[in-house]
Amino acid sequence: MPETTTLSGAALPTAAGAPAGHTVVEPAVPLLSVDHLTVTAFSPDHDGEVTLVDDVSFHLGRGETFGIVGESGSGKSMTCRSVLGILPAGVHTAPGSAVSFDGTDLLGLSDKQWMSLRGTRIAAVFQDPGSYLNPSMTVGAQLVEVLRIKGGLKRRQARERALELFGDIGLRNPTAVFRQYPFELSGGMLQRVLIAIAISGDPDLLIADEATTALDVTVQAEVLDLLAELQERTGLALVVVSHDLAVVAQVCERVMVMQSGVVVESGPTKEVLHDPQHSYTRELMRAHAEYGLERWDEERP
Amino acid sequence: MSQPNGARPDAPAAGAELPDEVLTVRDLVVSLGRGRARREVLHGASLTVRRGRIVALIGETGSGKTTLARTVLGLVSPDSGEIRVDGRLVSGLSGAELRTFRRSGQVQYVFQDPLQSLDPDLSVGDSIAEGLLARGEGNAAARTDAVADALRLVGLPVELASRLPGEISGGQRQRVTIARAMVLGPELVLLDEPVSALDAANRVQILDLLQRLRAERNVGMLFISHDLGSVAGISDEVAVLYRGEIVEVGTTRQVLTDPQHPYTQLLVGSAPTLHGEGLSRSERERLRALLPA
Repeated sequence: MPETTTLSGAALPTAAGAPAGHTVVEPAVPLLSVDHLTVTAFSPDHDGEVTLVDDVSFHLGRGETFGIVGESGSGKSMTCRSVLGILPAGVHTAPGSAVSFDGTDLLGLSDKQWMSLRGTRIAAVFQDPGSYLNPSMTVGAQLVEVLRIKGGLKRRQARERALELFGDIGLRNPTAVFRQYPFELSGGMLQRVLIAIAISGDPDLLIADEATTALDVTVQAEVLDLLAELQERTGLALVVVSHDLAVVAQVCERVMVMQSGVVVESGPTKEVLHDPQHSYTRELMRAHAEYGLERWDEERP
Repeated sequence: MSQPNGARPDAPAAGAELPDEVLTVRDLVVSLGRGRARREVLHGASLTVRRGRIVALIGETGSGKTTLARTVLGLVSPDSGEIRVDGRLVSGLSGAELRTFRRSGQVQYVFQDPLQSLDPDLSVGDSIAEGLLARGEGNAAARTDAVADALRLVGLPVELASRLPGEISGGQRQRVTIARAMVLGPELVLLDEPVSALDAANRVQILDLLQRLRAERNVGMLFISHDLGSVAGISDEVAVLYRGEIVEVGTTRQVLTDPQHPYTQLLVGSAPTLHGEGLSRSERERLRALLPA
């Protein structure tokens, strides 16, 4: 269980208006530690380096659910990509940044070392599942491939395990889906397949970066249910990244709000929603009150 | 429920307390595809948009929302049923009649991705003026004035007229497509996911703008969206489209607080909110079981 301590506001990121008000929850033994992460990119327009992520720190324990909220350009995806070691070309972490996973310094890993970590112990699911699958292979064959390469399973074992995983993620007819090509599946089914691939290595950490954004509301609810259920069943740590505060509120115990590369507010989700400290968080909540189902909250069943 | 700023003096007398219908869709049946792949995607959809009112059309991907809008625009011809704009039958118009109808600018549309709906090589001003030019209206000076008015109407600086779509922000671009729609003085604007590609701040600003325009210009709007949040805040009425059928129509309050059809109940109960729990997983499964496979 995470141990709760209260730090002084000074220990938090130094954004203007960074709050001191929320309870700071720190895991006793962090699984993932991000400290003073700064990510920069070369920009010809700005005649040099631009900062995409500015001095971001957070710590995550095993089995925790953690949300990162922000708009496009807020740095939330670059933060995740740093953790996954998949920053785009020309984008890099600045000196002084530290990211460690279960005691291993991730920023110093070679590509080969990443191969044994990414996709097994650290996994991720992104927004557009279709673009991560090979259109000319059945989805079953793609999961089998991952299980053989990453898990070292024989063909027959891999096939059995694949069907088992397809069952685990709530596909009603795993055998039929196994033989289907990506174009034959709906967005929600594809995202389930991607989740099956992501959890095939039995990860300790799963990052869902806008994983439900492109889905219909009813399907989004199913996929969020699935993620929460996997988290409970396997005890993995789950990071949900979204532009939608409500999505994060539904799944995550803790939330971090980012704007322009900076953490403007973080804390237990209930506290942040009950008593938002930063004007940007308040603005997000106002948008929900005016243009959101929340507008009708009092009359809803 | 907001009341529009007075109906036009020539509005039909029928229903004195209700503004007249700018869009009437009756029993619309539409099929898409050719040969054996041809499939019926709308199975007798009916809905009404009144002057100055915003009607939301909600439903999942593939439910037929966009097909309905394309049929109203005359881009798809229906198998049967009728579409009336301001009382005039517009479904089944011949090619020449259809062109005249489109050029009249009575019905305008705004899509999700402004970058795709604006010509990248055409300045913002020229894009907005294009419809006026097609309608053969005014001289160059008059058009420049109209463009400036349209830009001011949507809250953009007039200087933006000389810029290219690629040189302005996403929120500004969506304002430009709205200006382009409004410059022709439409009676009906079809908005297909107009805020889905925008971030929270721009989304609120565009929704505010649409609210203002419908009141100031007394325009009827059909607001197509899968985002219940935007719908909750902007629309007067909601029509729920499920697999090609309108399964529920009502005021926004009725549909969102007391949904009747199992699909609407599922939809409303699935949307995440900041404080609400929504429906439980088992309740959602129960509703799903009630829906046709």
